[in-house]
Amino acid sequence: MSLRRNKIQIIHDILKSIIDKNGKIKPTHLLYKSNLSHQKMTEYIQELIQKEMLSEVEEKSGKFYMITDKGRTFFHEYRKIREFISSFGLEE
Amino acid sequence: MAHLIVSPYWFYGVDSLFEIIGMIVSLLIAYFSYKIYKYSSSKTYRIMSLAFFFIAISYFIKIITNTFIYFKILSFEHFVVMNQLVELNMIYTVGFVLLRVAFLMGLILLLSLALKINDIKIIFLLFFFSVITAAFSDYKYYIFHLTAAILLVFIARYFYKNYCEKRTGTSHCIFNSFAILAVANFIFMFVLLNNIFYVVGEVVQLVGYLVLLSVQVRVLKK
Repeated sequence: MSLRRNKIQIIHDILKSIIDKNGKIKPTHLLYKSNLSHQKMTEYIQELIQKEMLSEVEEKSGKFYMITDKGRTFFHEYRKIREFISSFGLEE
Repeated sequence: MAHLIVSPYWFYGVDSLFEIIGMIVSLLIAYFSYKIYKYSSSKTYRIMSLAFFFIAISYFIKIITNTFIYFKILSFEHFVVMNQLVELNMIYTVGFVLLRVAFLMGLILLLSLALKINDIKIIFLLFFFSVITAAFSDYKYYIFHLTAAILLVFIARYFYKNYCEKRTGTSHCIFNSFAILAVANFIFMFVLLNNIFYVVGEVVQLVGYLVLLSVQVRVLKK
């Protein structure tokens, strides 16, 4: 069994990290929790923002990433998605 | 023209009901794959969605074509005028060419995922040669179902390997479903010997789609 995460798993892990921090996380914390390189994390974040699963907010204490309703929907549907992908052997 | 209708008289319309189920199941899988594609932007799920969408389209075409032909035949009185036969033959030809093209396109896209064929030129060639033989040859009925059966065997083999790796109930059902669909297409090849094989093939095909539906239900319940 491959230990490499596929894209869906990585997206799930990123969103879980944010949910675990009450829906809002600093970039440095996310980098630590996501277990990705800075470049990869930036690519994923940009994609998730483009897909409206994350939003970027500026507060007095700095920049944060917040999970959106669409992101929460994906997170809750993750088990179904994972089961579907596994059943059809579509892991990448 | 003598083989325009392969279904026994008493089965008219029942095959369309069975195919509605096949169409719905294919659309469900296409829709869910598309959802995953929207989340991940991954080409794999887009191809999967397209594949099942083509399969659903093929069933839709078959339902429309068969329904139209059955109604036309049932409306015939004691004798049939030549232009009615020509009209029927045209509907049959156009409808069945379109459904065969759509169904084979769906299977070839699934096969490209199973065999990890990334080169679009190879996919095009597979499609071209399948369609030419299955849609336009003199023995199109046999060749179409033989081609579909062979493609389904390769697809089922991929799902079998997936099941051997995962050992889950759902992966086992996916394999079973495609193996059953392959068997159904082999059965359809014997239709011109006796039209009861059409009924058997339709029933077996329905079972295949019901197994696939059971997987979708289990996935959606998670």
